[in-house]
Amino acid sequence: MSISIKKLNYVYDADSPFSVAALEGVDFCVNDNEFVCIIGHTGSGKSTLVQHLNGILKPTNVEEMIIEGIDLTAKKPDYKSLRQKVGMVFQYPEYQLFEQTVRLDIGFGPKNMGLTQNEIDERVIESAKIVGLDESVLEMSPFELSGGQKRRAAIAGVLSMRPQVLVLDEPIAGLDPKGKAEILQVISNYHKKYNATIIMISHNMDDIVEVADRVVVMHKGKKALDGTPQQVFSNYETILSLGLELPTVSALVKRLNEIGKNVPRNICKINDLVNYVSGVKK
Amino acid sequence: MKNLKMQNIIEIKDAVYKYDEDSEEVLHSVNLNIKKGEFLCILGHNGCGKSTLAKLINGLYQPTEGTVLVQGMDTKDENKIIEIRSKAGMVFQNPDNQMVATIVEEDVAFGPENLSVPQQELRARVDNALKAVNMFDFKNSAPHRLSGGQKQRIAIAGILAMEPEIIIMDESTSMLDPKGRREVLETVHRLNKEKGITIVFITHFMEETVDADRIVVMGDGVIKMEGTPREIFAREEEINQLTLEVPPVTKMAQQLNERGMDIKRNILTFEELFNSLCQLV
Repeated sequence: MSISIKKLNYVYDADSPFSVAALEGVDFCVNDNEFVCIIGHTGSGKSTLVQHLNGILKPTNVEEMIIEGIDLTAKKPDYKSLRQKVGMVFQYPEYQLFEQTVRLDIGFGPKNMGLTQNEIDERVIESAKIVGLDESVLEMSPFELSGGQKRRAAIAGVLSMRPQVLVLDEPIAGLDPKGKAEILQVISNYHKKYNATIIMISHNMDDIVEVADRVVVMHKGKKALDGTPQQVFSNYETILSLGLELPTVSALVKRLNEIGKNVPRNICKINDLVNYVSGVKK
Repeated sequence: MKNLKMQNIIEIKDAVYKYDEDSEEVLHSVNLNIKKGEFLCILGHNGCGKSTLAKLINGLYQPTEGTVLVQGMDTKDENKIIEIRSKAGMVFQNPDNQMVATIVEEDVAFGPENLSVPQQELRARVDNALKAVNMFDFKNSAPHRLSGGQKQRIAIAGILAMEPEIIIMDESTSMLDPKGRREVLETVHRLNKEKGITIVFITHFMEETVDADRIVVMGDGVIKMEGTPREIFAREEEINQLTLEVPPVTKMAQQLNERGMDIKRNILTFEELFNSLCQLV
């Protein structure tokens, strides 16, 4: 098991009049090599939850919290090794590029891990390849890159530490369709090539149904739903009552059922719908 | 279909733009007329020149060559620039970068105050602008307590309070969640219909363009395609070449069509797709 968290509570500004309970009794377990998407409204607690995964936030209290074998309820948890095992790609990660060259930026993590220069070089080149950056840009300043390239360079900087768990907070926000497809491909490649566990926050339901093994829905600091995309998105009433959207396919299936067509509610992917419709036609 | 008057509110003639003398041209000889009351969408991948075009319209940039006229006023005319900017307001991408005050109503008042609008009228303009974007109940809130969509609506209100003829939305929905995007899109469509404000809406999201009067697709600093949404999205190959995508429902219709199903390829809306599917299952 990659992540095992039981009864996680987190309160912002705990000892002040402005205290807000951001997470209440959240259980969050993830298997090795699982691709989990977290969805939820702004303020639902999804970013707060993922920031616990590499120790940026420490629980107000928690019953059990073991991530990649590291017990975070211990007296002195090994945060350094946690942060090498769990890579975090924040929203708009390109804002965090800072080095003089793309090479130095991507190599910053491995350097701090104490790798030799040869190992660092190797990882930089390998990471650039995974994200589809040409080697010729490595000597450029990150600020000379286009928006899509910057995003890829920033992600390469996290991948260069070869995290076993990759956490991404809305990695495709603000990109054009081509950039979006490229980043999703990068994540999927890393997932497969390194058998990595992926935790991704996204608002884009149509993308989520195509990539996720499991979908976790957060609402007001609690877990509202947890299951396969088919299980979660066939629960139309809950999804809509939480103010979330259905994937386009689920929305179509819902409407078809409403007018008396008997289409299985768990169809949420384009391919499944196509297969179903062609089956009916035959 | 709305009856657009013949009058052009914006006329862009042979506009060329480069950031400085030695740099390459970002726009090459762009010609574009926008009608009063039109809802125009500008599409294009990152770096195609669409934001530059938007900035030419309200005089943030002046064309290197050619002219840009806003209500007949030349954006190169320094005496007119304040009037141009009060007629053509712009909402940017990042909701957090355009709040100037600590209270919502003060933020909305910032623009008209700088136009020396008298106090009493200012009050009325701010209230009306906040009502027009459905944010009146938040007039005493602090901006940082609002969602992204709410902040963008406050930014729109700030423009409305200057009584604009044109609102330019420069990827103003790209950082918002689906709900925020819907709120903002509905708001500008309503302002377009009810107040006749001309809208120039720049976006990456194809599904946001389907209700526009006209779409202009930019690529490599020139206008590559122009037409109604249905005309544009029927030209799949060109759209793909420009590394854009057709809207998700259109894509789905095309996939079903490719599997030999009797579904039109030029479907644009959810309703149309639903109606076609009803015939099939």
